[in-house]
Amino acid sequence: MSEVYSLLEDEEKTLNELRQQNRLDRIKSGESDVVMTRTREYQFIHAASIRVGVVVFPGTLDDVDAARAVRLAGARPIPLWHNDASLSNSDAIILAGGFSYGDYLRTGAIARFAPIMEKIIDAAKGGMPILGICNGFQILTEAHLLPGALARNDHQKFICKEQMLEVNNENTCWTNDFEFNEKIKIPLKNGEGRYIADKRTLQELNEKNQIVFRYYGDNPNGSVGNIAGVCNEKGNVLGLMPHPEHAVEPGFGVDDGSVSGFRNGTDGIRFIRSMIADMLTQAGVK
Amino acid sequence: MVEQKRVRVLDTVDLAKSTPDKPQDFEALGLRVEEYEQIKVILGRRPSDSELAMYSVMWSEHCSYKSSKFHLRKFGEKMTPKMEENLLVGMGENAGVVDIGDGWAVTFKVESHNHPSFVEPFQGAATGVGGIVRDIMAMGAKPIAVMDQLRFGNLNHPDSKRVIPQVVAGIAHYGNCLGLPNIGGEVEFDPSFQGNPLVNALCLGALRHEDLHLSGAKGDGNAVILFGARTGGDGIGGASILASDTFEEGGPAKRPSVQVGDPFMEKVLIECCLEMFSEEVIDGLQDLGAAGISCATSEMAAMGDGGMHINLDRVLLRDPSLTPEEILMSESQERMMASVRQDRLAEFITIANRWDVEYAIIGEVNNSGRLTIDHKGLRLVDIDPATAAVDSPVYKRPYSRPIWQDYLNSHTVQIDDLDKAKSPAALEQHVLKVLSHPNVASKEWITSQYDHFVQGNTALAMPDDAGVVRIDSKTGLGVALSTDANSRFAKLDPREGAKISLAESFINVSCTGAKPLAVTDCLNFGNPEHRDTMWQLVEAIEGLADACLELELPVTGGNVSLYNVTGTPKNQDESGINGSINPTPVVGVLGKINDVSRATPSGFVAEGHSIYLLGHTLPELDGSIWAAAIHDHLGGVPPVVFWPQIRALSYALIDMSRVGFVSTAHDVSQGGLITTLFESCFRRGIGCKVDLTPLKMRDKIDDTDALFSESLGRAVVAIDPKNEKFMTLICKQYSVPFLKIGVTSGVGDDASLEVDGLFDIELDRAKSRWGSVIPDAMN
Repeated sequence: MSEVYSLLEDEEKTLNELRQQNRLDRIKSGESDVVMTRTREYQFIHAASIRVGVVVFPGTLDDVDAARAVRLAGARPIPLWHNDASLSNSDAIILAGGFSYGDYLRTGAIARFAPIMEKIIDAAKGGMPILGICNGFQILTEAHLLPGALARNDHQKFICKEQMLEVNNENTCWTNDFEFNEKIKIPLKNGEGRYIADKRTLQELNEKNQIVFRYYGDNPNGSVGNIAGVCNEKGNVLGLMPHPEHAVEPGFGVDDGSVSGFRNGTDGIRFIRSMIADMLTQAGVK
Repeated sequence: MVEQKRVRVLDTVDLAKSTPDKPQDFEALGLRVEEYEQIKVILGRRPSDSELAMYSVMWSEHCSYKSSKFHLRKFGEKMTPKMEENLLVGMGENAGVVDIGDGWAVTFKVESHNHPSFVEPFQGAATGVGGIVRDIMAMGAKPIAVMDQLRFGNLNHPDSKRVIPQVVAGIAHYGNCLGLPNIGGEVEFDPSFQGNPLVNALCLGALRHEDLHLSGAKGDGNAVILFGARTGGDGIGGASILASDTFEEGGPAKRPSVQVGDPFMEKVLIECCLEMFSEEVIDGLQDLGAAGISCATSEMAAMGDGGMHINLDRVLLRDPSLTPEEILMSESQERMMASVRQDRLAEFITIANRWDVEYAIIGEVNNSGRLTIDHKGLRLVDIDPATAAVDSPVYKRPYSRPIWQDYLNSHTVQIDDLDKAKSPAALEQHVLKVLSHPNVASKEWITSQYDHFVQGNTALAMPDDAGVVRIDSKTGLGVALSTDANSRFAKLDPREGAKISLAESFINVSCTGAKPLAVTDCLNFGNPEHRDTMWQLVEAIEGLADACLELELPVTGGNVSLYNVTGTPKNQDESGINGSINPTPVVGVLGKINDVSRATPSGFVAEGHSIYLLGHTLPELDGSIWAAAIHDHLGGVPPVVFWPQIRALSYALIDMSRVGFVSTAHDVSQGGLITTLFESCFRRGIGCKVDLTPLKMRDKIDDTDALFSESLGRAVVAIDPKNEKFMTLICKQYSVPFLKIGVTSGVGDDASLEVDGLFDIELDRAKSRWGSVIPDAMN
């Protein structure tokens, strides 16, 4: 928590540095999809006004990473405490990974009753973009914002690896930066990540295009239909097991196979960029 | 039914004075007659039962280092001013603290949790992680990474299926829940660890210089606060009895329950402490580990102003039936003790409440020079805290070089005439056997259960040579960490074995481009009351102290774990060495790297890169994996440590990394050159073509030596051909022998490792052999 706060204090300075750095990096790298066009630059500056609430329950672990992802994408992370009575004017919410309340009873089962969840449930129903990662996904299913449930991995062990995903729905507010069928790589780490749902629910998910990501290559935990992430009918609430927030910064992401050998894979940042782009489009910024 | 009320007369200090002859069962608490007599001399009377309990745990081997203390002084004696240059806190505190520049410091330490992990592998291993993390926190640091050093018996022994998955799951459960990336470590298999696995845990913490906390309770009138989990009946006597006695067959059941960990409580405790650090509410901080409140109070008092008064009835209990003696000895996890200035108390309470952390103000600091503990108005303890915490007995136990050592050393690979492969086909078989030896085989089954992504600062983690984490996100400043021990080498020669542990960690850290700065160690040995074992311990300590002097690295702290033996003394031979583990001096090296995102990885990154072998290869197969995998042989003498070559290689690797000329660097150690090459290939499935002829001619060795020798001070680097001339310049500058041995070529299904004129092994085939060894044994 304290790190998030101290980062916020430095935010003005950091943000300017980041802007400069980001611009330079993009121009230097010369990769077509990240070259700063006029439009993008314009968006980037406006993005700073987007407030993304990052919820911390006791036992949440990846809140610092999620806040960093938001910041690197150009938006403003707002730390939210499980006991908070308001969302502090957040425009979007991230429920980060971890072991909220020690996973006691059942993953996400206690967090679902935290005071802040009432507000989040209302906001979700009102169309606010909500991203639940890992434990956040578990909380969203417990809160019935998303269908299905997450059970113990079929091999009964915790697993941590770099995971390939296939994008199955590129039309949600969290995935519009991806192409349909695109293969992306982000970290996966969970003990209870096996997605399960009854037949009817699965059929509905398929029909309504709510399966957003499937595991590609291998199925790491026995999830039904290789499902890695699902959204609600509206598409504003996305839950996924793998961790985009751990692949947002060159050098600290996943192995992208580049000749540098560094961990430069940053597909995760595109989740946040999608949401920002969606929000700016809605706000009329082109 | 009338409930019977248990009537128990508390043994107070007054009672101790008035009943000097009351018999006390000090032996059941692990104290010897002389030690009991010494306590009486110190106090000028017999101890009360509570005092006896305190002394028994504080004077146990685990807490007092009574067998090793005399020899551990060598680390201090062999310290030069240059070695102390970067040291903010040295040995003796909870953990050493090293300056890494820009106002940042790091603290790190490795500790053992061996015995509990055999009795109850899951909780034993889990609480091992919890304990070392609190040690790091007690220095005022934010824990930022963990590592584990594991040693198990034969992989295919039936009991291994009980111990290994549970130990790994315990570490994963606790570490993952804390949100600390597990960035590396080691796993070794040897039959000597069958009945006594080694579970060592390392934690790394980062802090600003001004946040440094020492454990001493200074400040007359400061409140002494116990906070975190409540005190329960778990692990009572664990420190003194469980951790210092052998696992006897049919002996009395002296095995109190292993402590049970609650990582969620610890996670909340960490966040709570970090907030207290940043608000500067804490004066002194101490974690509660072995010997619980006894240890925390006497150590805090002894290291501070010297006096403290405690009201034991204020301790929050999980089990109200605990006796005062039990409260003093309880090893309940997730507890911390703080000394807080009276004017900061309100702030302390606010933060604790915010995190829903329970606390109790149990006493206060004074300058009386006495540690006094009351319970319901009765005085139970009145001692000079230093006599428990500092001036514990020191034993100069007898030791001598075992007679069997010469026998072991004389049975070299040459003398025993071990067959080397005579045909390329046989050589290929040897390669595959070495690759599937458990000590070389992929450890992914274990490491994939650990989260290494959390916190987003991990630049390198297993299976790279060292774990590399960022500390300052603005500058990219960070550290590299590696630990190493080769218990087979240490068995052949404990002195050289300890040096080898350091040399290998040192090169591992250098491979990433980090500059080595400091050392921590965990010395795992057998029963020090046996002359042979004691000799091994003394040799290892002296060897390590000498090695540190050679590399000018300070030992900043660590741990000694003794009595790692199985079987009763009767079952053991005269020397007492049967049933003892291989001597295992685990050595961790920490290095500093200015931009962690540029740390050199260990796996090949692209085709068409030139592969160079740095360093000389000698025919050193004694104690090697080749000898173990092909001939089940252990004898001879370990590889020679030639310090100038080790230092030169380190300088060269760091220089290459700084200028960015080298693409990958991987040290050559267990399993020899061929293992290093395969590991580099496996990372991205990039093959290579190698010609050993120049190497064999230059170093006058045969095929088996070239492939499997475990000579020290070597590394394999791969480099873009356009940078070759710079690399060779750097090597020449430091006089590091270099030789081009091949090129990387082939990816995907076609990729293979081809050694000119000998064999051509497809990567897929080799990888499935290498990768399936541990999963097959565990599933």
